Amino acid sequence: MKNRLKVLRAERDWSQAELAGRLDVSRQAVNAIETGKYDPSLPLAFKIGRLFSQPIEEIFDDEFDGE
Amino acid sequence: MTDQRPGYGEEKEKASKRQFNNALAISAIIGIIIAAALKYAQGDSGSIFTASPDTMSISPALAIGLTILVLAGFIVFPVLGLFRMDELERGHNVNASALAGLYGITAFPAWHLLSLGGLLPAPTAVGLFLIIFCGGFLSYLFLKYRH
Repeated sequence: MKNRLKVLRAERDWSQAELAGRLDVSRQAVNAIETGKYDPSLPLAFKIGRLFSQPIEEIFDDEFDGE
Repeated sequence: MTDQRPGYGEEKEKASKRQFNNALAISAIIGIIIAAALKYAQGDSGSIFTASPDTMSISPALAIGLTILVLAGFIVFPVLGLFRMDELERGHNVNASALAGLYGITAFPAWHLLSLGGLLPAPTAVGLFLIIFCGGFLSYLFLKYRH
């Protein structure tokens, strides 16, 4: 699943550790999500959405084309 | 999460790492205490992996004390840790534990059959423990670093 986490983080000039601390996850988890190796749970996705004040679908893209 | 101070997340991340290192240190101390107590009780032959009830015995009080430490080290501490780690790490740990259980239930009949065929000595408790422990640990490393 693609996501804009790295961009949103860069806009705030946050390191991965900074974002990890704000989300209560490890830096490795942030890295895994950013690189698309790990899809966060729904609670974590909501937490990310709240942190960046954006709906989940604005941050995560499941690449569903509507077919 | 509402705290907007710069460096707030970094501080929390560092605190979390500190907690993990402390947990690791406590685990190591528990292991050292068990090894030292057995060594003290039995001298050079004191090893939980090589000892047999025929050649080694310890006092009931020491046995109960060490068993409590083993239970703490292998069950209580890791389970408490599961509630404190993040979801990615928890996933690695739970999956590795499930695989370790699978190795355990497969290892005994497979080893027993091979021993019946004369290809291996009879299964031992220590051997099975090592298969489960090492298998679980290697599975954890694979799950963590496979990407």
